[in-house]
Amino acid sequence: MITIYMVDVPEFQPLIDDARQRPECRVKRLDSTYIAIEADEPVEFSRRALGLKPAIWYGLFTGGLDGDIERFDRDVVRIVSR
Amino acid sequence: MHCLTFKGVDHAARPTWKLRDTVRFYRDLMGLSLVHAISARGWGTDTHPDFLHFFFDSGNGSSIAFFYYIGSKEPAALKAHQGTRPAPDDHVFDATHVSWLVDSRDDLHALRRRLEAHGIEVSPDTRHETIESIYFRDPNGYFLEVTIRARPLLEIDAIDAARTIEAGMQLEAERETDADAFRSIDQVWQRKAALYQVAAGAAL
Repeated sequence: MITIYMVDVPEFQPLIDDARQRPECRVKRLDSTYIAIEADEPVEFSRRALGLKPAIWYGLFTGGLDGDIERFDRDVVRIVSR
Repeated sequence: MHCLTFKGVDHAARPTWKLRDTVRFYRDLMGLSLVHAISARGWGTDTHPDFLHFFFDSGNGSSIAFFYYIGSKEPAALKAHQGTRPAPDDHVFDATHVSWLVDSRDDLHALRRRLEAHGIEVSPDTRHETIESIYFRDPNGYFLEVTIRARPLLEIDAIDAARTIEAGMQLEAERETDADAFRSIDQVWQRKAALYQVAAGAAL
């Protein structure tokens, strides 16, 4: 299983909102700081689709990541289970 | 233990070998008032005993200060940065910077226009997590940042910062016996997840 720990601050909301729309993702509040995005299969996100500036995109998983980054370039990130 | 609290910046100082260019840039172009100047004889070391030390107002009682060491030679390492693009290409020299705060995006863009009108290259607006910045170089080659705060730093930022830096410190310690222990940011992010899981398990 993949778990992405998202800090609950405005700049990361686009990813949390995007995950909420996906059937393969479960979004859970963990505490007052973190929201977890869980998935049982690989997940891929697009910077352009999320509307994120590069400086935020490149720090997207700063909250923590239980998973492996298979691809992370200027527009696409793909996370797989460890 | 006495709890130390800083109250902001008094002054940030750098050396310059371009007195006129520096005054024209900070006072005349940027519009920062020259608020103080010290001139000293025989106070410096043998190679540059006499100097000017002068200060431009940077708000809230703080200032941007320069030393002009009379008769000393400008280091080639500094000269190399003059006129180069406003990007952090040198991760030691350019990382050593101060970011100056303005009130609004209008202020940031007015400064951009003024600099560009004088032929100074300015970076694109750069949106970070909690600030938005422009970057440019002064005549000395120093990498300058001017920023607006997009949102205040909150308790949530401090909580997450503590976990990030704890993960980094653990990995740095492990690298002393295993060179592969700390090679990428992925390892910090994975360690943070592990720390969270341990803390959550302990709380059950």
